[in-house]
Amino acid sequence: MIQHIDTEVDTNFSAFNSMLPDLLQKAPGKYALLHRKELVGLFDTSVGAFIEGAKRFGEGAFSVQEVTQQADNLGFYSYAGGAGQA
Amino acid sequence: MLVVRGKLDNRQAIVNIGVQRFTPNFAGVEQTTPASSMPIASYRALLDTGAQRTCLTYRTIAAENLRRHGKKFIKNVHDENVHSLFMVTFGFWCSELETMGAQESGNSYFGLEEPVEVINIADNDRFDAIVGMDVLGMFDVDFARTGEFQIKLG
Repeated sequence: MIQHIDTEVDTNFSAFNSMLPDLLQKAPGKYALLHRKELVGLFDTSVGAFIEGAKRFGEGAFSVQEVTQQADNLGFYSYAGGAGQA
Repeated sequence: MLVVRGKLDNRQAIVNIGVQRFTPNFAGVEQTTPASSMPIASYRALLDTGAQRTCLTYRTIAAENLRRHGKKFIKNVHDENVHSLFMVTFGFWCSELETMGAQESGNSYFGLEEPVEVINIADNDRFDAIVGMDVLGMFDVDFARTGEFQIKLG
């Protein structure tokens, strides 16, 4: 089950990054709902996309990605570094 | 009024929070308020105005059996990495402040109305979570030079 979830999130993330240049033109700041490497819809909030994904595909069978190139910042927090965080 | 009160510990502001996996309830037409299930575990959380997003350690994520639903680039003073995203219900363990007599009573729990999207961070021996500005920005937070602080929850 965990493997299935990880595969869904990872493969969707890869597909999302391929779509990102186009999405940045069309819908910057929106939240993309993805399922099996396909873009299902765009939402105003991550919570809205999450609820729709859970309703349509079930928990763990979808992912949500923000349409942005900007990284979030944790300031001077030093525990966040290192490889393999995902 | 509900308030979180504390005193700096080793120059860090630590509070007690609760987090649980957010599971939408499709019984109604639309989910508006995330429901928490009892008991709600208490975790030590660092208040960090430098963090844009709230974070949970691997240990806390495992304890609450959270499932990731996405990934996000996160940077700190050292570098930039991809972290996982988790949707949780979030709340503070707090006290009820009696406004008339200014007395505090009981140990209450204040849950946020909306779920919070958090990221994973490494384990450490000081705290289980970081409360970032995505959550702190919702409230009035006061620090005194005596080292005492409070979050007014309303």
